[in-house]
Order: sequence, then C-alpha cells, then structure tokens
Amino acid sequence: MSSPWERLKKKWRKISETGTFRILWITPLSLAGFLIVWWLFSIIINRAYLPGPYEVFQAFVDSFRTPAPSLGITMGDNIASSLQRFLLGFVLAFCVAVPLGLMMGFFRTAETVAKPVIEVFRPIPPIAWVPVFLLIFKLFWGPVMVIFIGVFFPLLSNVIFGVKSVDPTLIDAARTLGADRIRLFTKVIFPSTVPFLMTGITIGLGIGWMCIVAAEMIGAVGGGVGYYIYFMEQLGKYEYMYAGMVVIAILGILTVGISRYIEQYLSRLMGMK
Amino acid sequence: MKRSAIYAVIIAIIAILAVVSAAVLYKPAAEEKVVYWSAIAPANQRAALQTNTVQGAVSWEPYVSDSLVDGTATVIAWSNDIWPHHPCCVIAVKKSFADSEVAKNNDLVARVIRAHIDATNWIIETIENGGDNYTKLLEIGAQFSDRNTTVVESAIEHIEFNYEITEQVKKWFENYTSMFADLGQITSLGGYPNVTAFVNSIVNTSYLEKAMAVEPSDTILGTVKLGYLMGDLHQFARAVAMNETLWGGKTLFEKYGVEIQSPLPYANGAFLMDGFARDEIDMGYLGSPPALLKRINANIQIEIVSLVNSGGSAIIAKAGIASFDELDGQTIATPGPGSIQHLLLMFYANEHGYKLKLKGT
Repeated sequence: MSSPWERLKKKWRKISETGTFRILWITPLSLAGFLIVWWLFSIIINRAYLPGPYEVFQAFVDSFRTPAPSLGITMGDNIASSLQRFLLGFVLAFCVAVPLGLMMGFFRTAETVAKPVIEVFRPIPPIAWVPVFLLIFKLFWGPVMVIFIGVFFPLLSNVIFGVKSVDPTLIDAARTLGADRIRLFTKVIFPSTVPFLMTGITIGLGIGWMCIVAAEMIGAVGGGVGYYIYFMEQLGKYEYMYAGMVVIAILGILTVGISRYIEQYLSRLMGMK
Repeated sequence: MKRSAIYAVIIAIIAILAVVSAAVLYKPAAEEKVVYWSAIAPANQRAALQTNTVQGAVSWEPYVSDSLVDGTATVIAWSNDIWPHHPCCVIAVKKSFADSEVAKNNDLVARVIRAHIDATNWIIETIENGGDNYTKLLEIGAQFSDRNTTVVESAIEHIEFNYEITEQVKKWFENYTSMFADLGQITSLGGYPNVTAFVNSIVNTSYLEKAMAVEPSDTILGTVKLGYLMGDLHQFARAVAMNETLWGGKTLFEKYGVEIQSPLPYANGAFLMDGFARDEIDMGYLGSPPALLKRINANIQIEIVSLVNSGGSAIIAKAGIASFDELDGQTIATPGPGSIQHLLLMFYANEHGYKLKLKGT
C-alpha cells in the first residue's frame, strides 16, 4: 500500500501531466491581465461609455440588490425571465432540429426536400426575425422564437454532419449481421451521432445567448438580461449595461460548460474517449 | 344545564364573536388597478395593435396617425390635452463643436438655427394659409416619413411647430429631469445643485438670439454634420429646410452658408446621442429626454439650442376601446421608459388611478 505522501505525489504528477496545473495558474493570470488592460483603457479613454472594472463590479452587485429604474425588477428577476425564454427556445430547437437532422442525414429524399428551404433561411441572422416574430408569435413567444432560430441551425447542421460521418464499415457490419433499417438507425447511426449532436448543442447554446439581446428587444415580458442591457444603453448608464453583459457571459459560460461536461461524459460512456 | 352544554355555548359565542370580529376588522385590500407596458418601437406599434399583441400604444407622429388613419386605433388622449404645450423635440449641439473659436463654428450653429427658424415659420404659415404650398408641405412630409399625404395631414394637426425656448419650456425640462430622478433613471444632476441649475447649464438660448441677426450668404462658409431621427414628423422643419425646390435651387441651410452632411437617420434619440459621443455629428434633432438623460448619465457634453416642436404625441387604443378604463389589466406599447411618451403614459395612468407595470411582472 502506498503512503498518503506517495498518493499525493502521484496525484500531483497526474495534474501536471494533464496540463490542469498550467490551466490553474494561467487562467487567473489571463483574467487579471484582461482586467488590468480594461482598467488602463478606461483611465486613458476616460469616457462614461467605458467604465472601469470596479465601477462595473459595483453596478453588478447593485443590480442584484436594487430594482432597475422603471422596470421595477432586479437582475435576479431578469435572469429568471431570460433563462425561461432561453430554455424554451433551446428545447424547441432541440425537438425540431434533432429529428429533422437525423432524417435529412439518413434519408436522401428528406434532405433533397428540406435542404433548399433550410439553405434559404440559414443565412438570415436571428435579429432580422425580431419584428416579424413579434407580430406572429407576440410578446412571450416572439423572443423565444428568436432564440429558437439562433440554436436551430448549428444544431441541425451538426446532426446532419454526424449522421453522414458514421463509419461505413459499421453500417456494413450491422447490415451483414442482419440489422434492418430501424435497428441500423437506433443501434448504429443515432449513437454515432451523439457526439456531433453535443457539439451542436454547445455551439447552439453559445449562439442562443448571443441572440438574447436581439430577442428581448421585442416586448420582453417580465424583463430579461438582454432587455436590461438595451435599456441601460438607452439611459446612458453604461456601467449597468456592462454588468448585464457580464451576467450574459457568466450564463453563457455556465450553460456551455454544463453542455461540454455532458458531452465528455457521454463520449466516455460510449467509449469514444 | 349540563356542563358540556355550557362549554358548547361558550365555544359557539367565541366562534361567532371571532367570525364577526374578523368580518369587521378584515378589510379586503383595495384591488390595485394596473395597466402593463411593453417596449415596442413606434414603427412596430400599429402592427402590434392589429395582431392584438398590445391593446394600446403611446407614440409620436407619424406613428400615431399610422394607426388612426386606417382605423386600427382610436385616440384616448392627445399629449397636448394631458400636458398642454409640452416641449418634445429639440436641436442639440455638441459643446466642443460650438465652442471651437478657430472654426467659427458658433456662427455656423447660429446659421443652422436661422434656417430652422425660417423653415418652422414657413410650416406654420403654410398650415394656416393652405394653398399650393400646403400641398407641397404634405408631399415633403410624405417623402420624408415614407407615408401618404393623408397620414402626414393627420400628423401635423396635433404638432405645434416652434423654435423658441421660453421659461415655460425650461420649466418642462426641469419637470422631465425631476421625473427621471424620481424614477431612478438618473442618480445625480451631473454636479449641479438642483434641476434648475442643471437645465440652465444644458439650455443655451444665445444661438437663437444670434440667429435672428444672420444674413443669407452667397458662399458656403462651412459644413455641419446634422443628425436626425428616421421619419419623425416632429422634425418636419429639417425636411423642409433641406428641400431645394422651395428655396430657389438650394437648401435653406445653404442659403445661410452652411453645407449639411447627415449620416443615416437614427432610430431614436438615445442612439443619436451616441452619435455625438462618436463625433459622428455636430448638431442633431432629437427628443429632449434622451438629451437630458445622456447628458447626465453618459456625460455627453451637448447643449439644447432650439426647440423643434411641442405636443404631437398621443395615447391610443385598439379600435373599439373608448376609454382608458377599458385598458385595465391590458398591455400598452411604449417606445421605452426613457421617452416623453412613457412619462406621459405613466402620468396619465396615475391620474386615472392606475399603476403602470412592466408586462410580465
């Protein structure tokens, strides 16, 4: 049996080998460097629209304690509203993009039918849909649908790509072993697509958060972090606007981080890592 | 009487007393009357009313008349009926531009304002006198706002075109500033001890006085980068002054020796104020609230040098809704809490015993 000291040394060696140690000391340094550059810029430029990190931090803390003027809600309420519409938009996109992507990847006819329409809509940025969605889906579902559009296309592309990337040897082997189309799909193609699907989810989540300001410029029932950012810009309260942006960044990092964790977990589970 | 019966009677009496006391003491909370607001750009408000996304709206012209002319909405109250002669749009100048002695920019500012005064007077006379010029006025408005002349005619009916900054106008600016302070939209007065001192610092009437002495010039004396809002008929005077057919083949600004360069029109006054911050414009037509708000909150050093209009906004509701009370619990679209229209709605709602709350809260 190894002694506790040896176990610690072993663990330390493992941390060093995996690069975790490097990440642990470089990440704070990188962030500190960014904050110093930001702080210096704010001093040199000396304009209201570029407050320093401390002012933004103060606004960040205050936004959780004090309701925003005229909105009457705190940052916590705004986050709750944004998360609600973000999750709805994401779940909707997931429910549509995954089956559609699987079908388009697997059935050539489905791809031939759907691709022209998809290709027409794909280049249209989500913000362009804002006024239309307000009218079609109204105040609550309008912003949800903007997020839906943002998440939908990266998810769809990745699922299609995933299906098409399945190793032909696996397909041949399954067929040789007598797998029918349904078994081939459920036992070979879908499991092979999962890592691509997870990559699509990760990208989609990132884009979804990018859409939140545009999405919440319409109506924004119950507020939202995106609307908060827009409103604070309109008032010229830039430190609060940046505080809202920091919140979006944190939410984005958290959701993408969770997605990456699930992605890695599934990859390990499926023996791909 | 059995002891148990006595207990039963006592308990019954206590119970009855408790119920009666509760009934007397309990006063149900007065039901709060609420109307909800949602920020919807004026350009989208008519469609939002048509699709029943909102049941009311508050906006400026021509967006009000957009909904009135085609029967989408009816007027609940004109802004002039709520706040008689309240100032709305103004001309602002960037201080660093106006104060630049080398370029004699303050002379250029006075010349721009002189063109604005002449255009405003022409509009007022034309509306009074009618005739061919009136048709021309409607056409200019239609071209500028991308509406038909019927909408323009409806729109100008409730706008008071004006340029003078009177003491009454300054009082209104003080009121707006106080309201923004009460709402927490401003937390300081930019170092000034009170709203009067702040308004006196931001309003500069000297250019209006200088403008009256300005003479036409045969040559172009300088260039001014002038911002304005997209299709905003409150800012009709700029469109009239820019029209070449009315003033002998050149714009009214050129008549007074100023070449105008304008970036693309801004969507709202807050974005126009950002244009000042980016050195994109030297002067601009915008609503007074964003000028006041961003001068304080963002320290964008501008001065208000002329009035552009009073009134010209309205609270409207879907056709069939005749009174504000019918909007109880309904949603009203506003351009956003930093606008005169939002303040107006809040004031009107309070006057009618309603609380204005963000939709979904």
